[in-house]
Amino acid sequence: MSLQLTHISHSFGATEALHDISLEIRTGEQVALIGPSGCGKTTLLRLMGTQLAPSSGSITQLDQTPAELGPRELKKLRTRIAMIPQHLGLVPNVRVLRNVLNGGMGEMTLLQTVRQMIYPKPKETQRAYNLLGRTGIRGKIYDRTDSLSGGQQQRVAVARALYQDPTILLADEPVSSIDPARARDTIQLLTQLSKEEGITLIVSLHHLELAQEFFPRLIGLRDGRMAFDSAPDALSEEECRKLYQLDHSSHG
Amino acid sequence: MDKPSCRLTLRASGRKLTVLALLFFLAVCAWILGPMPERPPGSTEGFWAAALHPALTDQNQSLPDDATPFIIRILRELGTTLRYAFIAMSMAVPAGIILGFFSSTVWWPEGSQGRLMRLLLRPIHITVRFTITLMRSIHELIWAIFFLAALGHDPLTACVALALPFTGTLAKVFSEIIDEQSPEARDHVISSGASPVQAFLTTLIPQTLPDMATYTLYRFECALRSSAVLGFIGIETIGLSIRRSFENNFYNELWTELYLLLAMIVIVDILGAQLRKRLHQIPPRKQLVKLEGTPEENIKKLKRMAPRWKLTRLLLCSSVILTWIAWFPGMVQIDTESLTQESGPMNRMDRISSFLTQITPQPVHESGSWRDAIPWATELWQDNGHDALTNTLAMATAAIIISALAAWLFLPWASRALASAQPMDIFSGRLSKCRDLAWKLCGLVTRTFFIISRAIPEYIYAYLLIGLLGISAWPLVLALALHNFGILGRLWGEVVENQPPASARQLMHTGSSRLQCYMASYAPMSFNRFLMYLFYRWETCVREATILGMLGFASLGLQIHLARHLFRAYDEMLFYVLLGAAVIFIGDLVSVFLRRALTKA
Repeated sequence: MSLQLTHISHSFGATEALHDISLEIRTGEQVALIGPSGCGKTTLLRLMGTQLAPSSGSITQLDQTPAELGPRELKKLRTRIAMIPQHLGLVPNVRVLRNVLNGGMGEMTLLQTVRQMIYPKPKETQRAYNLLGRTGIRGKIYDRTDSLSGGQQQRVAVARALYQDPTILLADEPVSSIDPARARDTIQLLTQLSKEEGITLIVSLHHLELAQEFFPRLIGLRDGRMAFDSAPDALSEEECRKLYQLDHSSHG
Repeated sequence: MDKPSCRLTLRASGRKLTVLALLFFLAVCAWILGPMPERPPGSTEGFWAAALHPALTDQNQSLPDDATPFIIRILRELGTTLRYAFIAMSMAVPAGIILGFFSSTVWWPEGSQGRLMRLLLRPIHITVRFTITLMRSIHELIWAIFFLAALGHDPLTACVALALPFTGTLAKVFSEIIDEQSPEARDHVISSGASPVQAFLTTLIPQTLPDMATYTLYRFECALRSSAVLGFIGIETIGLSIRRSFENNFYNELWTELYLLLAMIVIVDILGAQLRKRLHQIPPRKQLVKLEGTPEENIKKLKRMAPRWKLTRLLLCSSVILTWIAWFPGMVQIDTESLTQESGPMNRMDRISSFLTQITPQPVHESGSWRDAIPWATELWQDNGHDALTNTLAMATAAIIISALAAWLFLPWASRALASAQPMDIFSGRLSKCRDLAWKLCGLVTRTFFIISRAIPEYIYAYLLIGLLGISAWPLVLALALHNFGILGRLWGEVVENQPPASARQLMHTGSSRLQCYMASYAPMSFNRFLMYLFYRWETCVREATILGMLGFASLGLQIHLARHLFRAYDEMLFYVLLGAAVIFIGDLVSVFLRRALTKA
């Protein structure tokens, strides 16, 4: 079992972002989290990525419960979960290579990190090069990261996530800022990589068509509650319509 | 009832009030400082005429034949100025980085596990912050006077004295730059299992490098100026010749020296501007790389052909080499003065211990009880300290307000966006070549004006102006204002250039003139940042005003000077120095508060 959430709720101060969510995700599954802006997708992903601890309920990743782990074990667990945040979290003014290598830092000591900053081993460079090849931008390895287009930077973030050699890959709104054709490419890349490597993939999207096309399992979130959890074919039109309905829709 | 918000917000009326308040302060300061003297002392005839005829040979006819020729002597002194600046910076930069690291908090471990660690780091953090504030509250010249008195007249001692306040400033700015970086990349790396220190090294440090590099180069420029001023207290840099030539009325020599110093600093200034431009721009790719070999070959090829700037590498290499030469000139067969003078170790220890006795207050020294220091200090404060402090503050305040007003008036004519035949790059009808050239010239001349006025150190301006105008506060105020006029021009110019141009462009489109556009868009939008820089420069003005007083106007500097020269009373000198430092400390706190208020508003 990759992920297990039981009766999770999470609040930021007085506002409740997630309410009583329970779900299980098996190893190698591909899941899309869908729902309108502010429905709690990012919070759910951050909980899955151990960046947050839930206010109540329990969450287990790879049969470990982060809330019970010491800092060292948590660090170890984190190296197995890769996250691609919406803002990508890349260092803009260094070369692409550096950003890809940053994915492997959890496994290194401080001394090794300093060594790598000064001199990356040929083996490390080669691995980064191969991964960049898989995401389709190997020619950019020595370019400055901020000289790349938005879509290319996203591919750097994917390569960095893969450099972690993760068991779970989480991506937060990976296509929110690129055009439809490129959005399709990116989602295709992610699902394909997940199938080939057997990585559990969880992607948040607000693009329903893309989710239906590429993901065998869709989880709908609305106002921090689970709206549905089903295969795309089993999803009724009514359910989809309700998911994106505005709160004050009673006027119309 | 809600409590009224105590946050400082500057709205339209707030801006007008601020400007009025500044003018009011200027008037008050002018009243405190009194009028200019009527008649300048001595004759300074031919000073301005000599500007057009800088000398290349000695003006002194009575020199022996085998004396070193003027031009070689001056170039050697210029080299020494450069050398000491390099030595001081080579100490200040590493120390500044280390202290800057410890005075920033972003690399601290987070969460409940890091609580103990944070508890341990907190006292270190506070001590470091206090130390760097103390280091930079005392002017390098005063550090130098103290150190030379305590350790003997070595050039190396003077360099250490230069390095101290520079370390403080670098550490402060470095830690601010570190704390300003966006934390997204760092947070991401931590969430993938890296430790906070690892994340700090790999994500925040690279992001800070451009700003740190340009600031270091600016500090180097300051180090050159301070190194030149060291000549006025007897170290053999260009300042020494400037003083001698002026005292002997060899004005042609003097202008040569000033021009050379100016040229050296302007070159560094221009290099800094070029570096900044490069570091904030992505280098262009010259040609596409074809990937057809094995991965190893491709990687090599890509690395070799990766786009990069030449200037950044060139500057890095040359600064390393020059620092090396500055420390060990013997290695490249350059014959220079030794950094340390021959003196036995006992001799030095004696000096230090006698100096330590000298700086303990006289009554304490006699009775052995620190309780006697209080009446002693009260007496000093009432006799001279109080007036000296008021005058110093008035000088600094008057100077910064004058330079702010001047810089504000000159700014639009220096702006690349406005001082152009096609302001904001908006199509403005058919243009004659003449108009285009005239506008280009206007921008260039104004910017040159800014560069030149900031290139010469305040102390040298003040020294010359006192000679020309006679002893009063005004030559000193003028000297401070001149230098800061150039600095504000540059800082404000950057603010204006970084401002999003949409509203200014909109105004130009609707037919407003350049000045209308400046008044309606640039001035209000940049006002808060302008004010922030104003306060920042005011702080440095207070520091400098303390020093300029040494040239003869009743202020803290003069008291320090008198205590040192007339009475050899290092205890009194220390009292005045600490008084000045206390003002800086308070100024620092005020400016932190104001900066917070202004960035929030």
